[in-house]
Amino acid sequence: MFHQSDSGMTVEPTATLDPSRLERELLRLVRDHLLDGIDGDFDVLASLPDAGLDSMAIMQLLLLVEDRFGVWLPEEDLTRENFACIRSLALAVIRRHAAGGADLGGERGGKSGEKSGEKSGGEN
Amino acid sequence: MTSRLRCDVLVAGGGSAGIAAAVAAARSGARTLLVEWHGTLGGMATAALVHSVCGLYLLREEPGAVEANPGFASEVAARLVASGGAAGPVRMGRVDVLPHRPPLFARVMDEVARETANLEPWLQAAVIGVRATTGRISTAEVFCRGTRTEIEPVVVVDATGDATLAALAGAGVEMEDGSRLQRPAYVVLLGGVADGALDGDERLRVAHRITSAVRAGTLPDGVRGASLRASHEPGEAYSTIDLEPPAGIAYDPLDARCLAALEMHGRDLAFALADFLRAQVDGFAACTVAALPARAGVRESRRVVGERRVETADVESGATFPDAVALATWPIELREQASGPRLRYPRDGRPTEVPLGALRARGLANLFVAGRCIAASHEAQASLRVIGTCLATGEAAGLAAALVANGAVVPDDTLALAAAVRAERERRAASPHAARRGA
Repeated sequence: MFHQSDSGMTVEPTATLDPSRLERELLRLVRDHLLDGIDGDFDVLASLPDAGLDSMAIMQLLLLVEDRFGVWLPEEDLTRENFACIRSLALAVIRRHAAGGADLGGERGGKSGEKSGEKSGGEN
Repeated sequence: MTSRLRCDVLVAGGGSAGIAAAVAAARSGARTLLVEWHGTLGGMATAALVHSVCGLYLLREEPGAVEANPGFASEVAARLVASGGAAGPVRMGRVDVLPHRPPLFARVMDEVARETANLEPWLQAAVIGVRATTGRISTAEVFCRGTRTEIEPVVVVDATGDATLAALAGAGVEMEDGSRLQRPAYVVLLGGVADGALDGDERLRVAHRITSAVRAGTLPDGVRGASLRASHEPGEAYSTIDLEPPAGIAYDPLDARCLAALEMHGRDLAFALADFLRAQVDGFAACTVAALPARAGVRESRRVVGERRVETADVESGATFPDAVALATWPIELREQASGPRLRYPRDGRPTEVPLGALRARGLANLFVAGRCIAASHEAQASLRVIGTCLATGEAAGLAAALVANGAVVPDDTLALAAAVRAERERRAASPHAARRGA
């Protein structure tokens, strides 16, 4: 189900994703890399900027999502609306996958995801 | 040849904390000498081109920025706005910050320094030696281009950012392992940026182009966390890159060889990024590196061992202290990796009180500390280090230093001294114009 990218990060093919699981994974990315201390019952509809993600953090999140799920989001998807909350981001990733834009990019993980790979690799 | 000079308060370091300390002390009537080794005052906000003042405002859910530390921090913010050096606070995520123009920040600092009676600023000079006997600093040696001056201060404030005086005096200092120290920021000013090139979603798209190029191998990996922000001036933007030391070098912010490698590495990355933007990204066809920082923006190095240490849990919970003298409001902003910040907000957005005990070096009665080298844990420092908080701890240290130098309060009673500092700050906040005249 999972395989390791060159960087050691776990890349999850989007074909296996269901929306609620994707949302949990996105939450985990936010918690592990961007916002220490948010918990599992963080509202998937809550505004990410209001939770403390500034535009710099939104950029980081974009990269984390691409590394983690091996998708590549084209420029028209890079809108603040898509990054408004966990749910909108999950929908954008799923839409891109359905449109055939998902790149099962096992070879393009990045260093920014190494820690996540260590953590989630064990749990999965 | 060595000359001698006496003063009431010697402040080492003319960054945000140092200028706040020096102005506060001088306005109390203390003859104050401020020693800064750059040619400008303002520290990171000028020499490192850090173009936002963080930590000025309370954490609030409601819109509207509310100042956390009425006093010198508010005065600097107001002066920046009045001089055109800042437009006003901006909400970024959960925090309010004051974006500013570094050249005008330097001008505001010049103006404050020159109009303050009893304050003598020395630029391009540094304290290079300290003599401490019987629990107090007796003399400090200042070096400027081959000239040495021996200063005999009554009280000293270490606002060097690196706890340099505390270290020279043999006081206790601590430093996190280089692998965990917050990474320094390399900020350059870019020119030739088209209007709107970073507006709205464009900023996200430009960032994506950069990281796609990093993945493709056309840009070095160190550029991955680059952040671009439009400046106030038309055609200009700031590029900020957090630096990992080049391969094979352990990060040590106190080592000149490491700093040389780091500074050059920062320029390598900044120019590579500018070249890429010019060649590849809409709106950047005329982009050049228009100005370099005088130095990389070091976020963390030595911290002094104080009477009291602000712990990580204190910031997480918004702790209170009987000897509180300032409020810290910035979240714990961890930058242990150059890939970008990880933020930890305090419970309920509560501010943390900064105790005077954390501004006092243990074992040296006449040494106060201000700015990013106050006594704090590694993670607490990641909240306390920001410019707004430095202005506040600087003012508190300067008030305390003047109270001790004037003989108004005995130095060993930190609680009484903190109460006197709070009272003095409230008095000044109530009539700021009289306070500025030193009344």
